[in-house]
Amino acid sequence: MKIAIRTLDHTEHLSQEEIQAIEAACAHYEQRPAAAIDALMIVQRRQGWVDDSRLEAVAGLLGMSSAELEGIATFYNHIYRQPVGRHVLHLCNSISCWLCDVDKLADHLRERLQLEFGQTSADGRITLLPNVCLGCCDKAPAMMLDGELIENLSAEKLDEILASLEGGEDG
Amino acid sequence: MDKPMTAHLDTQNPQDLAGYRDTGGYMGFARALDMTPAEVQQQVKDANLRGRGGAGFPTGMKWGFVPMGQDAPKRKYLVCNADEMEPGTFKDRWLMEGAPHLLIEGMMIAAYAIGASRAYLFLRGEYRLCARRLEQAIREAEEAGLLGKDIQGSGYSLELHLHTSAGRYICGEETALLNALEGKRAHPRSKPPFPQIAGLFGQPTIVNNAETLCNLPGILRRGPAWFRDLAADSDDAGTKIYGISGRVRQAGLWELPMGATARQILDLAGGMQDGLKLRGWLPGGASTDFLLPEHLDIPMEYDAIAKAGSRLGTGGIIALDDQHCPVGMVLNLIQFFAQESCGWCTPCRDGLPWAAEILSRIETGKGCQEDLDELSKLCDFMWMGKTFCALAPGAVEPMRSGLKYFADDFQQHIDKGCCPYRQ
Amino acid sequence: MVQIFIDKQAYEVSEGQNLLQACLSLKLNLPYFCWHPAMGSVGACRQCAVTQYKDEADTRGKMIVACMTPVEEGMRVSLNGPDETHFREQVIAALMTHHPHDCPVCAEGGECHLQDMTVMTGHYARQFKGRKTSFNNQYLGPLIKHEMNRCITCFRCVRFYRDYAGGDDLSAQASKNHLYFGRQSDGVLESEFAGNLVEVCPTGVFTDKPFGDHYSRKWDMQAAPSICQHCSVGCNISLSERYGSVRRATNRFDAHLNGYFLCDRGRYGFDFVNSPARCQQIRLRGKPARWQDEQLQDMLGSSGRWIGVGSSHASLEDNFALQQLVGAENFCPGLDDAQPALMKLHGEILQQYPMASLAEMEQADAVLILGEDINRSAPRMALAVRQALLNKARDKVESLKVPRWQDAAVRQVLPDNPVPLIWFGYGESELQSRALVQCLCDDQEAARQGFLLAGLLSEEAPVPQTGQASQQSSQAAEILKNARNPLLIGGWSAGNPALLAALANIRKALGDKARLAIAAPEMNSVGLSLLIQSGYLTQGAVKEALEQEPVNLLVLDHQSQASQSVLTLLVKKARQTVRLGLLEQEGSQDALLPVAAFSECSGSAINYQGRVQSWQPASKMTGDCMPGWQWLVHLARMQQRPLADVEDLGQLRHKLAQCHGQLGDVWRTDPHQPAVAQQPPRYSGRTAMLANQTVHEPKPYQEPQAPYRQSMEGVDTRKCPTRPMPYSWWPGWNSNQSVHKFQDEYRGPALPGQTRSVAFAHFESSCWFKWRPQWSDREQVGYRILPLKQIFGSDGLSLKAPAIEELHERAQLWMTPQLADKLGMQAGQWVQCDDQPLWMQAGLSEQVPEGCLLAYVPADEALPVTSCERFAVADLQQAEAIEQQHQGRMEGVRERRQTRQSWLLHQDEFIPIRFVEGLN
Ligand SMILES: Cc1cc2nc3c(=O)[nH]c(=O)nc-3n(C[C@H](O)[C@H](O)[C@H](O)COP(=O)(O)O)c2cc1C
Ligand code: SF4
Ligand code: FES
Repeated sequence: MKIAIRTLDHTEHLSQEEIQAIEAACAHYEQRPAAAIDALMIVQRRQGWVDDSRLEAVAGLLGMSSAELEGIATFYNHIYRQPVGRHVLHLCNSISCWLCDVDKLADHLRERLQLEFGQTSADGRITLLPNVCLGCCDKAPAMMLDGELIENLSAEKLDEILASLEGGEDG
Repeated sequence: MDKPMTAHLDTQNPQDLAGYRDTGGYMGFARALDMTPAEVQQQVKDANLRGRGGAGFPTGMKWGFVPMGQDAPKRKYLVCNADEMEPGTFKDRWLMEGAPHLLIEGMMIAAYAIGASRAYLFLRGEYRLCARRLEQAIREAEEAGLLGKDIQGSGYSLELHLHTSAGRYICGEETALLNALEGKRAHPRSKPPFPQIAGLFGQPTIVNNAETLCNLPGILRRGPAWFRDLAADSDDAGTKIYGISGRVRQAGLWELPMGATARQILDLAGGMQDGLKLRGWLPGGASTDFLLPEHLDIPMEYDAIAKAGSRLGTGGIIALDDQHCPVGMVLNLIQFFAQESCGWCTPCRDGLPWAAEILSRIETGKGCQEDLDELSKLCDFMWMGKTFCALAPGAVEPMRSGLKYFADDFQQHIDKGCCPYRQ
Repeated sequence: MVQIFIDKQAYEVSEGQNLLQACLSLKLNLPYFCWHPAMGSVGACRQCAVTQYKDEADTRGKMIVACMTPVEEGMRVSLNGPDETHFREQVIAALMTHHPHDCPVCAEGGECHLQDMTVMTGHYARQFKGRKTSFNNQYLGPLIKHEMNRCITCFRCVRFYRDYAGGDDLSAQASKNHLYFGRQSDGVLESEFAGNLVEVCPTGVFTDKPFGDHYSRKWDMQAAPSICQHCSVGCNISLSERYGSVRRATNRFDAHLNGYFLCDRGRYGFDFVNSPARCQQIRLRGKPARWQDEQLQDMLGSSGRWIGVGSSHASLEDNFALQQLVGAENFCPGLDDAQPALMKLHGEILQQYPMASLAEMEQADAVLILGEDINRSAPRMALAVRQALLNKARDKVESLKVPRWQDAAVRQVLPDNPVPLIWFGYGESELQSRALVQCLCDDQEAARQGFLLAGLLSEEAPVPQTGQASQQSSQAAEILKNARNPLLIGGWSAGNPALLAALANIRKALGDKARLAIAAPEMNSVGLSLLIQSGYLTQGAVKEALEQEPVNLLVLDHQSQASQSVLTLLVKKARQTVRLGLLEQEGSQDALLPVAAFSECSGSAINYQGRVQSWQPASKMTGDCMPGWQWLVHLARMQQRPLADVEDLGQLRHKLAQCHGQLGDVWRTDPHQPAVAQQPPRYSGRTAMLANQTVHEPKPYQEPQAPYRQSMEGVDTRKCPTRPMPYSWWPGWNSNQSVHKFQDEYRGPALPGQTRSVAFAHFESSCWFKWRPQWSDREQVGYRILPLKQIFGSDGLSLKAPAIEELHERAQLWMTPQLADKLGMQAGQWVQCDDQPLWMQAGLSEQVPEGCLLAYVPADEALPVTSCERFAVADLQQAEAIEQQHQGRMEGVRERRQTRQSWLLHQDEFIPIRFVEGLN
């Protein structure tokens, strides 16, 4: 028996709404840990990624160890365990998009943003990531921006979108 | 031509519950409730419906393994596999975005047929629009008493939950999917025990592809004979959602009778884009063998495609044109599989990145003759029976057929020390 | 048995196993990684692939993995065909694409399963031309070093740590070829079985840290078969030595006891033998002395009354010699007042019922744990019980036509098919948290419920006059009645004999289908209960005697918890005290005779089952050290007492067997059988060891008639199947996996019956134990203090191993959150009970019975009260002082570890010539 001097208080790291949403997800399964992915997706919404203390809080709430939850969080592509920018751009790099020359778009993006895939811009505005096939093969090339699919990309369309991000909420 | 799944499909404004009901929606389920589960199973067996998830396993037969009756476990599950991450495949998304109630009804019929009291819709996380529409449809069905306790006074109860995944191709493999649903790392499970006996949370479970399930309302409503007649000229039954992507004029999806030919589909897409010729094609997603233009007239049905040396897979054709490098295409496919390997078994985890490393050397003109040997050895290394699940053997399919059909291209890369398509 | 054909040759193999097991049992070489004999199959690595043929006509066959395929009558496979051989080489080649090939600097080098398998598959040239991945390593505490780059992703570590041992702070992370095995963040691995990772990992990802401080290759060490000295389970270990110091302890396979795994107290605790606090010199009144000194001779020869105080941490031989020397009427087993009663009762029960081996425990289908926290008092036992909890799930998968060794399938159906575990007691532990039936109570209530439970099972069972069977007891009765192999576990931790009596009654009520196990506190506690059958002195009686007449005390001191208190209390009153000491001890003593540690001489102990187990020396004695019994023989000669005629250990053991007939010929060795060499055939440095001092190679030291020889002269362990293996090695199998070459069957399903000698094998008849009213006396006021153990800290001997001292817990006082609220206390605060000087850290737990407190007191501190009324909470200043004191101690530990390391390394450079015979 080890003395836990500071017991983990979920409310310190998770909001009431988050806890409620996680509890609702738990109700869908036989076992609480089954809601792990739902819960991680829920907490990811707030700051775009899952930090250590929130990971620990979720683990505690679901009755699993943080090591186990880490194993799950790092298995899935769309749970981020590192800070991401305010916008996350996933460019599809799978076959149909490749056939539609997504590589050229990728070069364009890299150039435009001065970022390599996997990096976040210095101002924390945007994170550039690749993605496997997004299921938009008929409207390739495609990408996912902040969770929404955008199809039929071209360099011009990309520029427009990026400009709207720049001129938009983040100015 | 009868298009039972897509006649009322509308991706802009999908039918709501009332609209769906107006066109005969939920009648299939109502018919099912009038039958015993065994009778429903028999209907589906008679209809000769085969799984649309890729393997083509007869759906009724699969259900038949689920323990039924008094002694059967109390908890049973139906899971809809809507993970759809196979590159070149986008049919389930179309169905779910355009006809969410169709899938819900299909799931209800399947759940009733196996006596499941809970159903999960396992959806890939990237499909946000699908998620919103499905959630809406589920809510409508619940409110109308089509889901929940004692449905329509039948004594049958069903809960249906939407689970959105966080993105991993392996989650589409049915046993890995079960682990993912249990909130675990999605490694595949060894079989036996088969999910039908001990699946989700250790209980009998059926996993069916979304498209498979979308066929059920029609079968129940109009009978097995009607379903078989849909594909009168084919060994297989019903219609299939076929698709094509790549450099064709109008990539897209069509519901056609089973056994339509790739040429028909290519024609529907308006043929190749201007100035391009078809070099080869993958008949059903990234994990199927290449076929050549000469194979275009083979019916797109399970056995015929298998005979030609490939697999029908998901029915999503990927067309390779003559201005894209076949080596580059194989490399792109292998990189996908290497990235998506779950890491459980050695040949896949370490063999795929190995193949990708060799391919990328060849593609950039740094390959040598031995690399080709090495590649075909790696094809053997990851073949059926040598890996834990079908991911790696699937990945090998386009690689080994690519090596065979595009041997010249590979050779040129080595001889010229560069990619001939990139000048 | 079924007949199978391997490479066209017919073999008979037993049914129910998998093909890999069968091949290894046939001593055929088939490489593997993810499979482990104790952990079953998962089929991840694909290394064990073979080709299977449908029939004789089938020439193509199909590739299968052997570990996932059950053997079947008439099965045809090939191991050595071109396809499978090529595939297996490819698997290794693939596994090695990211392996750093750093064997020369890797601690696993020379006993690496990966090396062995690589050589076996014939993979010798790197084919992969790409870059290697590299990983960050984690700090995992003082016991285990992490080097992730060496990982070959076999999943064995997490399968052991999580699935087998129930740890939850190590996991598989990330995926594809970036898989990572580690904690969520840096930190000490929490499982008390973490040390097994060192042996479970087939390569050098997890290595033994203290061993790494003073490292040697396996082939350069000589090893001795030994027995763990820390709890009554008596796990079998190997001690490895080089240049005169013991380097490490490793698991020594034993089918009945430890199997493949040890607990960390056992693996790391041996290090007290290298402690700078070891007594090396004879001392007289604190000053170095020589044996010939007249004063010393006078003192030792004194003819007055001698009272001997034994120790359950000392060998059976030492305690027996002491008892012989002073006479049974003057022998005190060195226990506190409560323990002799336990010891006696335990002895009685041992004569009535055989005790379950750990292997038998693993077969149980219902488990009752009555008032004992085996997680801490006998950790290896808890690990065995943990495996039993899977049995229903195994039955379930078997009913689905899936073999029991399909580990993933078993775990998948486990939640719905748990083996019922019934827990009466207090405190939190892994087993407690997994119990289906739980009753939170103190030892007295647990014992009462135990009696009542026996009453529910049999009308004849005597029950207490008062009290009623709780709901949990009725549930327990129902479960136990229906079980086929119920297992009943208890122990001494609570210091209450009623618990043992209750357990024995339940055992009698259930009949022979039930198995019983009672955990004693120390390695040889049961050995002492054999010796005292003919009478003994209690501690109180010794005190009385000391008050009445001038008495000489002779104390066998092996840091046993009870004897420490005896010492301090009694020494003051004795006329003179002679201490046979292992480790330096503060306080007065007139003479100190340094004794050899268990790693330096032979000895025996009796484990919780009554099994007699012996150990062999791994290294030589240094300084003035002598085995305890040998000092005692010298004393006997001076005092002309019965023992005087004993010449060697053999004769002493002969005497011991004469006094206790049932021991029979436990120790008899075949005089014609040549001794076993402790140096392995590959021992490389022998001729160079002393080259800096002399170029002549001296004759190796030999103990006459010893069954083991500390040299290469003797038979190789492979050729002597009748003697315990000093180390496990086989050509081509340098790692510990070689152990299968020494077994008939590689952990087949059926375990052979217990064959080793049992010191209590009467089993004549059994009796009901009556409830004694004094067992439920509750005369104390205030809160009852119940003892709590910790794996690192409750055992005084292992606490002298620096790595363990670094991990040991400080004193703790546990209370319910409700009580803490009432007292205005918070977790982590420092508290004193009544007026006791010991500061304890407050812990909050729901697992504390009402009206009670749980106190954990480290072995080197004391809390001599069993109840308390008042509490004092440390103020800020005091708390700071406590913290500072602790920091000081930890600094001391680290310093000691460092000085010890440099001292040992320094010693290696100047190999003491006295180790070599003829140069002394
Ligand atoms: C690596 C891998 C990925 C798969 N992905 C999917 C998928 O995304 N969707 C799907 O329906 N089936 C997928 N499958 C097939 C499923 O394992 C399973 O056969 C199918 O869901 C069964 O449904 P059906 O009988 O209706 O075809 C995949 C199989 C493998 C081996
Ligand atoms: S083939 Fe092996 S590593 Fe690849 S996805 Fe399947 S189990 Fe995982
Ligand atoms: S040992 Fe058989 S697959 Fe790993």
